Amino acid sequence: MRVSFQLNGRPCTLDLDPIRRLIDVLREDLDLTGTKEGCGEGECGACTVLMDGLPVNSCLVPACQLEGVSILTIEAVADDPRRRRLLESFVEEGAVQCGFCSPGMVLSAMSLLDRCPDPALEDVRRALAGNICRCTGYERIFRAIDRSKGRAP
Amino acid sequence: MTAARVDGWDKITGRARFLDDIHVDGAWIAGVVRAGVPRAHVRSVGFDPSFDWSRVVRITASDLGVDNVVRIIAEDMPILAAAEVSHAAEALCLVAAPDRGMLARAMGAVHADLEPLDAVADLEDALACRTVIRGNDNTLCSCRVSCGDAAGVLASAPIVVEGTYRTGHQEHAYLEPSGVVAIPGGRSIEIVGSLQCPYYVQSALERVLPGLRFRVRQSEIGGAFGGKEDYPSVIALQAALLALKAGRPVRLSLDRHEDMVATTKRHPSRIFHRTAVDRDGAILAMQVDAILDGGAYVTLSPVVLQRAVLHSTGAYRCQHVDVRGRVVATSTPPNGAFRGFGAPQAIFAVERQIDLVARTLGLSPLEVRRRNVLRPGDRMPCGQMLDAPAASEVLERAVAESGYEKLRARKPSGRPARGVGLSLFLHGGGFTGGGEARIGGTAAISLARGRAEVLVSSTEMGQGARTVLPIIAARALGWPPERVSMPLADTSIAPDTGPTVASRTTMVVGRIVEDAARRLESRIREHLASIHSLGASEISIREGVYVDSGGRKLATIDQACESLGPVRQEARYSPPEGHSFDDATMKGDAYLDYAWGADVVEIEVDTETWEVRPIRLTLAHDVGRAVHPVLAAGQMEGGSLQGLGWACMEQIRTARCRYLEDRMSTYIVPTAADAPEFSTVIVESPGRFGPGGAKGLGELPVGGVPPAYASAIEHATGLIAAELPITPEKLFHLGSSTGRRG
Amino acid sequence: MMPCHSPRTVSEAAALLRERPTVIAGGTDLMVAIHQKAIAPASLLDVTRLTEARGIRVDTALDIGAAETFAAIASHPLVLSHAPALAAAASSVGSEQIRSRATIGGNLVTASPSGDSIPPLLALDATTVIAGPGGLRELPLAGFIVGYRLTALDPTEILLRIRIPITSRFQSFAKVGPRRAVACSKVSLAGCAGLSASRFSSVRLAAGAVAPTVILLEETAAVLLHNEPTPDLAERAAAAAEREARPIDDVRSTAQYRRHVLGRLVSRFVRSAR
Repeated sequence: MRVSFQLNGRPCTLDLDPIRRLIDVLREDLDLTGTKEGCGEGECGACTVLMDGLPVNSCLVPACQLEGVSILTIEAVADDPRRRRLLESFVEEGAVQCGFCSPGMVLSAMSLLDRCPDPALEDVRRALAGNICRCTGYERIFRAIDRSKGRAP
Repeated sequence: MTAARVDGWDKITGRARFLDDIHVDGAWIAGVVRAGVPRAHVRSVGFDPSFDWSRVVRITASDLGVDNVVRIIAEDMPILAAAEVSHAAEALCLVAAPDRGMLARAMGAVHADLEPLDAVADLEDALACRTVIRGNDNTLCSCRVSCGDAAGVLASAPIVVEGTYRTGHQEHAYLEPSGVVAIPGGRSIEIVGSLQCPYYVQSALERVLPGLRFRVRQSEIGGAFGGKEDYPSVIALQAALLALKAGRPVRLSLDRHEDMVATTKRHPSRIFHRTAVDRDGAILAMQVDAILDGGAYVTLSPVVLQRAVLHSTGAYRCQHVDVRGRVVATSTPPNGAFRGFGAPQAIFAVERQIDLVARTLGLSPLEVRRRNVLRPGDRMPCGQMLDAPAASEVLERAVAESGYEKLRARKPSGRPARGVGLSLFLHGGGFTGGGEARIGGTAAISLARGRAEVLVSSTEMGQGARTVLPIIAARALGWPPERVSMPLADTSIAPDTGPTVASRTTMVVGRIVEDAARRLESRIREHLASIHSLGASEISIREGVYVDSGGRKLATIDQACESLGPVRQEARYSPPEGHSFDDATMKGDAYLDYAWGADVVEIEVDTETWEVRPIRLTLAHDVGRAVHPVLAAGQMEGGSLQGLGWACMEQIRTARCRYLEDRMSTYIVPTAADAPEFSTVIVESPGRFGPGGAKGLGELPVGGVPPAYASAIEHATGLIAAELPITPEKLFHLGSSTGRRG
Repeated sequence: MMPCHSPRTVSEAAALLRERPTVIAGGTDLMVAIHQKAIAPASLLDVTRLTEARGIRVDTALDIGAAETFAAIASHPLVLSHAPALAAAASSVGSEQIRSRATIGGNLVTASPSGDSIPPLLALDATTVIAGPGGLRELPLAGFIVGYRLTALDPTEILLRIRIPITSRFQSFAKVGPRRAVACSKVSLAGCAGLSASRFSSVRLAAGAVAPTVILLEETAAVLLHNEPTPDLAERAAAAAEREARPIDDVRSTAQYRRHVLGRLVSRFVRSAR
């Protein structure tokens, strides 16, 4: 089926099998490999992208539901000067170790900060609960978000 | 402040290329048809003729054409099951196809005719020997460490305390599942994969395909924790054989479910302690009986066992020790390396035993630890003398930092019940005994155009090797760290520095790198000395410029390198003077150095639902010298949270030898909402061996949290847990069996 | 390529349903089932674009579109004021990522005994609005879920809306899972109770994950009715709930533990009732 949606701020029209997963559209059809697959079942959050500003597991989104939506992946964030501080904070505070959870984690953090610029730690924990990190213990991810909040992103 | 990790920007922007991000032209996809039955006689593996088998490539044990062996330590494990199936995830048939759809259809057309045999379900079942699958009594390996006369002292001791402690499987749950790609060349094969030890894989390939040349390299690794130490040899062999048969690249990537079902786990344990003490809490003798469940094959069990046995008396001194260890075989996938490698199991047991001693004598857990903690001049049971153990130091730091004594003195009351617990532990860095000497690791530094490359077989898997090793080299060279880099591990460019395991990367590999860098530094000075007719010792480097003793500029780094030309300097591991260990008697210097740790865990318990909430973890870990403090703290916190998960929610039960928890929805790990607050104290008690006194630190943190967590629960509720994980269901059961309600 | 339709109106949907497509809402259950090879749909019907299935409003009841996501429900002012127990349940489902997509309709149609929206809806005496070839019909939630993962929905019907009576009664929701977030309930309890002259004048307690379906604890409610919420009453109600529940041992928990925790949650409900 023909599907038209916004991808990283640009219009995108593709012919897709209705049940094809968004993660496969991104990684295989569009060579956007920044979004990772960790479990395929919506449990780990490594595949998180933003859909109309909200974090979703792209491994659970079928192509037939992309019509008219706006998708944001890590590739757009990487090049966005407004996000530089957030990304730098992650790197400098030790919030990145193996890096596999990082793109998804950043997008979830970004979505939270865009909707709530000064979240309490409890809000941050809730917002990131769907992004498993096995390396850091989360402590430095919280510090990175703390460091980047409340200022010009 | 040390600069941010070198690979951080690529990782945070999603640009870092993990295995499945790497496109390989013309690669087929591989799948493994697995037995599905834990033990069976293989009558036949048949193929549905209605499927067009010419469209794919398939391999069974009968058409392998090469030795059917995955070389790890022993050679008891086959690449594919031949006459007998030994565990349910064992490979029966390998298939490679052009796409996933065809692969699935081909795999569905494979029909194995299996005659089920009696299986050994678990550790207890193995000990009972109703069914024997290995040797006479299901033993895979055993070892013993002893000193003094433990039996004699125990026989006459006034007070003897006994306890049995159990731990279960733990799954690594690295975010990136396992995978490799095999790319055949003329008479060569390249393996790219998410793997910790490229030379292990190379060795396994050479064993089976001796006529070929190999290149094994890592892709960016999304976590490993030991789970990618030996298993990659299995899938690399499987992919390589398919690639050779297909004459094209083959990608074998496991999805999460398959990874959880088939790959290695932490060895379950049952450890019995019998301790003689006096009334004041001094330990007089320790007898330990440790049993580990190794799964169906030997793989790394002998070394896991050695480490468990050598850590089984913990951070305490005792002159009369007898530790017997045994690994038993069960009809489950082989267990393997997992951060800590036998030590966390041993530490849980000994720490709980110390708490039991305290409780029995009416002393505080802290008091008993202080009384028995290892001091300078003490010896470990294997006989190794400790000249400067930092055990006391970390203990007192953790206690002070957390306010443990005040918290522990508080009577738990009200809802939720609060509790605090303490643990003291250690981790021997580097390979056990003569292991480092046997590896004889070699590092190289390659100099060209004013830049240095550190060439080692150590893999970057998140721990920061690609940041830390260049820093060590840069310091020895006197160069700014930006001029030194380290590529992803690749056997075609780096010598064998040994595997990325055993907390050896900073301490042992770092030392070899430092040696190479020092030699290189000398060569540069000698070169400049000969040009300028000076003595080499008159030359030094200051702010990136080589100067003479008067401060006169001789050359910039770029100039010095240009005139020197490209240079490669190697260095090899050499054991410290007098360092030796006898594997047969388990006597001598077991480890190059020990790192020490103490944890304080504060929790809240809802005594109605038995949900436990960890509030704060105070970590005081001695890392010798922190080369990169942020990365060091990351290892401490990340490892501690893995320990916490193992302690409270990570559980694998088996039914008919199959794991019940085999997906991320059922095998649960801590989320951001489950993590406690951390109070992280890096203690630096420099060791003698590592660069600047650095010690191994990657594994130390895992063992500390579980016993401290158990102790905190005991403080809050009076319930004594001797088994991991400590789930609400178990606490409820303990609470109701002691007659205690809500 | 499989046929897939995203009808905007109920009448479009009704026509398409005659072909027995696989219905997809948020996809958070369905896509996992496909990934685990439990099902392989031949055609899809996406119900998330049905205008009649969207929107949250109040008329004579709080009326929630079946296609509304848990993220929307958890933060909607009308839900927070009229059905706070449902808002609490909605915010406890899965993760942010799941809540952004999973729908209340999907949760009801999946009809798992641990579906978190079901206990508050049952406690609040919600009614389902179903669209079928014959038009609309209303069915109380208790009649909608008929068994373990079974509903009264005919394959030609879709769940369109959920209606919740406006009430000022005390209501709450509690859930116990294996970790603090992203957790499938081991036990859940929602309650809605009216008090008059300090005595329970009405009680509805709905328990999840302690039986093949979410169940109303009727015997427990009977223990409470017309009595004052004292600690003693709380314990008698807890005991009644423990007898009334029919939990099992499974991969997530044990029957004994579930029974005990249910009792505790009931006791807490009684002690906190105002």
